[in-house]
Amino acid sequence: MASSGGRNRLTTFFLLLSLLFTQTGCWGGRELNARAFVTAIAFDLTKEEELQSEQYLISIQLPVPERMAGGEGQGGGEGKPFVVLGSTAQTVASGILQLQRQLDRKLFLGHTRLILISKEVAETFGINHVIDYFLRDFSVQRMARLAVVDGKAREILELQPPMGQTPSTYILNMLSPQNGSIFTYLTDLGKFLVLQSDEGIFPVLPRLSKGKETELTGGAAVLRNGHFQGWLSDNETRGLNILHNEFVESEYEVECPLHPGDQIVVGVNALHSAYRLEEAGGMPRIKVMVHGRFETREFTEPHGPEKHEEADLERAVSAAIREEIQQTIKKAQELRVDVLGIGRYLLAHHPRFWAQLDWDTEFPFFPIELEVKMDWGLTIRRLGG
Amino acid sequence: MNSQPARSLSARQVALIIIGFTIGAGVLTLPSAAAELMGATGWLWVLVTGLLFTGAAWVAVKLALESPGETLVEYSQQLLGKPLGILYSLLLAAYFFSFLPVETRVLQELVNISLLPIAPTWFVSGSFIFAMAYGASRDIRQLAQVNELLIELALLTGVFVTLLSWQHFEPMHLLPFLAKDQLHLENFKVGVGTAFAYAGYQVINLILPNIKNPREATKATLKALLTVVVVYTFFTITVIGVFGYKETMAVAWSGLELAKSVNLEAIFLERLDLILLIAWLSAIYTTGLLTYYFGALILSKIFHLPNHALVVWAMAPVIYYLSTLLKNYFTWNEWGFYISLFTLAVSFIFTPFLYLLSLLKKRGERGR
Repeated sequence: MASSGGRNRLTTFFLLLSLLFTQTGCWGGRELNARAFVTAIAFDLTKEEELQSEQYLISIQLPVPERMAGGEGQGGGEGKPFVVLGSTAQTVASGILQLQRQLDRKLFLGHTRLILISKEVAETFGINHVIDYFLRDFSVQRMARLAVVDGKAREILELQPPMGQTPSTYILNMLSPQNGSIFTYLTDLGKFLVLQSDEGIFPVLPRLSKGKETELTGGAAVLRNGHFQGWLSDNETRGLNILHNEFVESEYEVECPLHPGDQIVVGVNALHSAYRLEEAGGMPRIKVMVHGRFETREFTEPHGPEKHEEADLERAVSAAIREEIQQTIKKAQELRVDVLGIGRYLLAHHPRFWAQLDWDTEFPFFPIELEVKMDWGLTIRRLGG
Repeated sequence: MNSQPARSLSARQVALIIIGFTIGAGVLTLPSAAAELMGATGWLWVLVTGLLFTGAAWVAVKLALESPGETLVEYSQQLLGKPLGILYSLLLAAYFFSFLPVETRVLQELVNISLLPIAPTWFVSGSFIFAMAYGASRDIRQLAQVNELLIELALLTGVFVTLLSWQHFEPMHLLPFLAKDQLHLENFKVGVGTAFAYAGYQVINLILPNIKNPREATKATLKALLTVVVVYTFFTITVIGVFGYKETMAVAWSGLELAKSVNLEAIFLERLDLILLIAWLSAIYTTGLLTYYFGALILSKIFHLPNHALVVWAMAPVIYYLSTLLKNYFTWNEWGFYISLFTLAVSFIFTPFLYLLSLLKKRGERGR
């Protein structure tokens, strides 16, 4: 029988031996240059009309590192710093299989941050049909951005960014807080899934469209069970951001109450909205209360902020914001899709009342009262004209 | 070699051993089960069952304190008689060993989905069982030190990721409170299955002879259980608050999905799910390590073996074989259900019964 010391030495030897075999690299590790990183995916209807209800066109954007060597987006070599490949398929998995046949590198979705779906695909197949693969693939992040494209989604992937970024970073930034546009609805795959599974609210996705040389954001696609129902305009999307308490800052133009015809640009930077169920004339209704603050930023005529216009200006700004939110509510009710989250509020805070409702039927006609109250937060640099 | 060095564990180490055993693979799926049972109020299930198990742990430690110099293997034979006592100890050993295939299989799955997608079973499961066996073959002092380090690392990372995910927290997701149409308590299997996450405090009936000051055992056990309850409840509140109860039910690994939602754009660590995963492998390892050790310890005591390490190495191929039988998510959940059933039986029937017997025995002795 071996002594205790001998046994320990033997164990140590075998442990070191096992380290020799296991610490040399990852099992099945793949070098970076053996991978093709998919940065964005787009879905369009196929050109063949008879196949349009069965198959869609999947396009993927792949960066070409050699062409990026000279600087971001500038291109170190000839041609665009990315390629876009496409394939027609009935499922995403089979599309990827087809695309893989065109490449000598393994497609990798771990860096896919953009999923663009054309309006037609959202109408014909529904969003859920095309994103199912991404929900089950462990490498895909919940932070991947989703958008509905008004036009061909593939064309967005082929756009060169106007300023020095990689193409996918450019599109991604356009759909991120960095974009700074309040007309964009900010969301991602995770938020979409959460809103889709919540009762009493339907999700929206940001709209993307192709401008002359750049892409454009602004507006949102309204979805019911993943299917496209209609667009919210830029202003309606801003209204929705207010109702969802995701409004950060924006400018509004109102007529000067003291000088008819003159315009004052106000910056609104602190808005808060809340819902309340109340009774009016024996009937239930929802009261939407929006409170916030603004400051004056620009005057079209040579006069500045004046004390005695305070009350009138507050009324004018309140009315402008009220009109915009009213338009959002009207559009949601017209489309018969509660993207406002009123149903979710009722379920959470008035479950008994909610249980009596057939919300899909009642939402379009449910009375909604809107109250907007804006305060002039005086942060003034210049008083005179 | 003496497998159980006498009175070497501090109260802190004991508390961490219980935490290290209890927190493992179960917590990753606990919020989904809770949401399935009670919808938006699922966290209440976790809290209430946690407090019930804390009560059960109190009974267990009281039983242990009745014979502070002995383990359950010895006093179960005194209380139940030798054949029944041995049978109960054997059942308990089987119970501890039954965790290992599940922990191994869960680890295999987590490694395959995130770290080494094509690494084969024999390599991942085999090396994990080898690492567990190596650790479990040492004495309790060394295990306590390793556990101390690993479980604290896993918990800190887990809490860090959970706190970060509060950027997506929506309080409305936790309402309505106890809505009738969201309560599915009749879902017996899911309800019982959550007991898996609370198994672990039973080790107090095996390590009391190793604690420096046995009087501190009650406090350490309750502290450990309450920590587990707080961690589980906080985690479940966060998951349901971030995802809503329906999405929580839809995801298989809610902790990983939570990490995948966290955005730290300004920092180079974008893939927090991988960081969490690596840390969580430590939590699974500590559970495996401790169940392995205590299972082997019971068998070595029953059969009067000089060293529990013999049992540890002999059981390794059996554990590997059993882990290969759990071919997918559904089968190991099924296995987890049976472990949970036994956990409930040990916690609320066997241990209180043994405690009652020991009290009656004591009264009888006093009467004489």
